[in-house]
This record gives sequence, structure tokens and C-alpha cells, in this order.
Amino acid sequence: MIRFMTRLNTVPELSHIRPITDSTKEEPQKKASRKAWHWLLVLPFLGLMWPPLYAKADPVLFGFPFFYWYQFAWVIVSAILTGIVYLATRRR
Amino acid sequence: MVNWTELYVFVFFFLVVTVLGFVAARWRRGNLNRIEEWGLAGRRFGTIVTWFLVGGDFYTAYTVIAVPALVFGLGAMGLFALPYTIIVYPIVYLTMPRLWSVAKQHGFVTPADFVRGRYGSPGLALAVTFTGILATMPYIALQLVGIQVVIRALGVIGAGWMNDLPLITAFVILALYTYTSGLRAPALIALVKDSMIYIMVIAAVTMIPAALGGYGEVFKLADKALAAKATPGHLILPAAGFSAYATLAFGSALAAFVYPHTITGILSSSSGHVIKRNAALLPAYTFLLGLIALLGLMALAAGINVPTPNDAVPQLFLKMFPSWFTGFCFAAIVIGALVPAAIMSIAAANLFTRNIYREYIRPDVTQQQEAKVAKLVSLVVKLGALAFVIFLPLQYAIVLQLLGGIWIVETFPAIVFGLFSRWLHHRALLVGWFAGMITGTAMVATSGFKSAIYTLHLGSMTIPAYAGVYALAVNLVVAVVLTSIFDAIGIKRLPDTTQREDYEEDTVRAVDTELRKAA
Repeated sequence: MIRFMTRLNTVPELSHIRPITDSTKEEPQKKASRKAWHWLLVLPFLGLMWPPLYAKADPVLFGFPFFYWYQFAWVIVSAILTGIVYLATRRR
Repeated sequence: MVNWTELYVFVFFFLVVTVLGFVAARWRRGNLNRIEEWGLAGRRFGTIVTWFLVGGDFYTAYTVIAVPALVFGLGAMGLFALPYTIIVYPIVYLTMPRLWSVAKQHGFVTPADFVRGRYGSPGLALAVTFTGILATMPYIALQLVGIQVVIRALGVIGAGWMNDLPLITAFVILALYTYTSGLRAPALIALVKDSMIYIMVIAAVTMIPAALGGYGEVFKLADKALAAKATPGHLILPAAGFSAYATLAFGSALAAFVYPHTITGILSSSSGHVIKRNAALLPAYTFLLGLIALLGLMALAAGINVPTPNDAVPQLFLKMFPSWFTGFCFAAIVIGALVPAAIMSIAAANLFTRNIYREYIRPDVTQQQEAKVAKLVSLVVKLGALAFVIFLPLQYAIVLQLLGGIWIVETFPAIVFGLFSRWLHHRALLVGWFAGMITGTAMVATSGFKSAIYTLHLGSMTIPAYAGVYALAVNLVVAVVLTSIFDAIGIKRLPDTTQREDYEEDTVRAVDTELRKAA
């Protein structure tokens, strides 16, 4: 099963096999717009590196003070952001 | 006082992973007489195995014990582990695929291999090697502490040296299967270990709060217990702790993936894409870690009273769970110590073999001898860690691990900046590294080696922050200033064996290798 999954994983890599000149020929514009997606990865730093933003008790959610659920929420948000960046910048 | 049900369950799971550890030698069979196969499992792990391996490697048993212990002792400050393990992944996403790609292209096995190739400087590579081994050794020792805490909670107490017998047994078994199976052993065991830890945590964070009257009640009771402490803790981070909290998270995140053992995990994956996918998938462990941190609050709410905070979580389990499940949880923690301990000893052995033995002792070493040396060194490293824990006070290991984090982050400029640019001069990096090591150590020394937080006085301002971040700042300033000076007076730069396209996996050559592999 694991072996099979690993096989699958290599498939996207094979999907961009193309003539040797291709990767050097990609238009700079297209490349720049792909790179712009990486700015999404800055958001977790902005959200978390300034504790005054979230070091408070209210509002409480499911019994969790804000300080706690805010940081838990960032775990999910940053994972989604990373996933978006991966999908958006992957070459098809 | 021994609870037999608990002990049976515990021993059963320990035996299962022992068998797995030896069987692993046959898993995805490769020639284990080559260091790339023994020490990196042939760089063939896909997304799922890498997820388990890096998860088991990065979120160690010590974490499972120490993070809730910190929350148990201090409250909110201990939660810095959460922002730390969130922001670490954007950093991994942006840097580690480049390291993987260049390492694959040039057959690099260790971070020091890369530094050697990139800057051409044996001195700088030696600094990275030295720091890596120095920071890893106490980390291995602390995994043993995780095991000790559990054995103590199981009630297995003998007289004199017999007291250490369970620990010695566990470690000798670990040393043997790491020797025979290399990185495959912890990778296979990680599949079991992580599944067990997930079950443990999910059970703990649903059942314990239910027994205590819900999360609202847990937070309320924990708040009271924290306020009643001799040095009161806080449920919500107070303003005085802001700068320490943020810099601890930031500095730890920079350090996390320049540790040799995490890089070993990264390099054993099969492509940069695997690493990028994992940067999005590994936060599942971060969520788990956050829940584990809450166990510290639950222990407070449950009125657990222990002399050392490290015992808080085991005591909480003993109090709240039926004995068979406690045995299961304890097994999960111990196995959780074995996985990172194995990977750390492999990483340290790779460093020694590639960057000291091959570089300075036997440059003409054959591949087979190289693998042999690495295997033997992995044994020596583990015995060293064992002796450390048995013969020296626990406090030494804790202090050294604290310092280890500050030291390892001093290799960040050489390794991570090196992935993007060669602007910094290798000599400047070396002097910067040295300045950072001294500054960081001196800052921790001012607290009598008790705290990683250093308070900087700037005029009328006082800024308490993680010493690792201050030391890194000193390191960078020195490196930048000296680079300008060294280039101006014309100190020669050494050749770079890597090329620009080696860092981008999606370039021609990587496709080329994929083609060959597929054929």
C-alpha cells in the first residue's frame, strides 16, 4: 500500500517531462506571477509574531480563551495557505 | 508498586516495535553497506512515510513530556511551542526543497557536506559539523529522560544500578536495530509510534476534560492553580512576556530544520515535492502538540501535585485512565523517544563519518568502509548519551539541550542563506558563527545557565528575548560587515562546486534523473 502510494507520488514529477529547452524558456512574466503566491506564506508570521494581538481571554470559544483558540486556528489556516501555495505554484 | 496489567501492555508494544526495528532492514531493500542507504534510506521515502518520519523525528518524546510540563509550571508562556511549530513550515517550504535538490544532485548526506561544496571551505564545514554533533548529543540524552520518567511512573524501581536496567535494555535494543537497519528502522517504527501517540492524545483531550467538567472548567481551574503557585503563572500571556514568547517561537523555528536529525529526515524523502506537500500536512502534528500542551493545564485542573513538572503528564494518566490504557500511553511515549534517538544518532554518525573521518582521517575511504564507520559511530553516540544520563545529573542534559538550540541556530546563515546566495564570505560566516556561539553562551551564563531568556538593556528600555535570536543577530551583523571588509581587501573566495540550476528541482537535470529512474 505504502509502496503504491509512493509510486503515485512520483507521477506529478513525470508529468512535466518535456523537451530540454522548456524550463529555460518559460516566460519571465509567468514565472513572476507564480512566485507571487509565496507571499501568502508571510501571513502566519504576521498573525503570530505580535502577541499583543491575541494575548487576551475574550471572546471565549467552546470554553477556550481567545489566546488558545486563536493560535489553534492558525495551525489550520497556515496549513491551508501552504497547500494553496503548493497547488498554485506547481507546474502543470 | 507495579501494576501488572499496565506493565504487560507496555512490554507487549515494546516487543512489537523491537521486531519491526530488525525487520526494517528488509523494507525497501537497498545495499546497507552504502551510507546513502543506511543513513538516508536511499532518498526514497514518499509523502506518507516522510510525514510519519519527520513527524516522529521533530515532535519527540521529550516534547510530549516537556511542553505540558512547561505549561504546568508557567502557564501561557509554555504555549510558545504552538506558534513555533506553525511558522516553522513556511520556512521549511521555502528552504528545504532547495537543500534536497542540491543534496540529491551532489550526493550530499549532511548539512556540512552542502556547506563544504557551496563555500569550498573545510573550516566552515567543520564548524557546522562540530555544532551539529554538539547540539545533538544532549538532545539524545533528553530522549532517555523521557524514557526514565515513564519507567519511574510504571513503578519499576530497583536497587542501585538495577534501577537503570530497564533504560539500558531499551537503549541496547535500539542501538542494535539502528546498527543493522539504519534509517529504515525509525521510519518503520514511526508508523506505529505516531499512530499510538494520536490515539493517546485524542483519548486524553476528550476523556479527561469530560471527567473534569468540560474545557471551560479546565481553564478556570487551571487559572486558579496557576495563580496560587509560589511564583504565579498566567493563563493568558502577560505583557511582560510578549517579547520572550515571540522570540522563543521565532528562534526555535529557525533552529528546527538546521538540526542534523531533521535534515536527515528531509534528505531521505524522494523529492522536493514530497517536502512541500509535507509542509502543508505536518501541521497536523502541530495541532496535536497544542493539545498535548493543554495536558499541562488539565494536570493543574486535576490537582496533580508533583515535585518535578516532568512527572505531571504521567501522573495525570495514572490518575485518569484505566491501567491497560495507561500502559498503552506509556509505551507510546517510550517508543516516541526511540524514534528520534535513532535518527539523531544516525545524523551524528553521518556527520562524523562524512565530515571528520572522510575529510581529515581517511580521505580515500571506500563506500563500504564509510558505511561501516557510520554504523559504529551510531553505537558510540548512543552509549555516550546513555552514560551521560546515568552518570551525570539530569540538569546537565537539560542545560546543554537549551544551549544546543542557541548553538545550532548559529549555523543557519551558512546553511540556509547559502541555499539562496553566496554573497556572504566563508571567512565572515565562520567568524560570525564564532561570535554567535560566544554571545549566546555568555547570555545564558548570566542567568547561571538556568534560562534561555536574556534581558537586553537599551537606554531606558529593557527587552527580554530568546538568547538564540540575540546571538543570531550578532552573528549576522559580524558576517555582513566582515564580508564587505574581506571582499574589499581581497581575501580569496574558494570555488563553489554547485550550480544555480542544482537548487531548482524543476529544471532539466532533475527531470532527467526522474526519466532515468522511471526507465
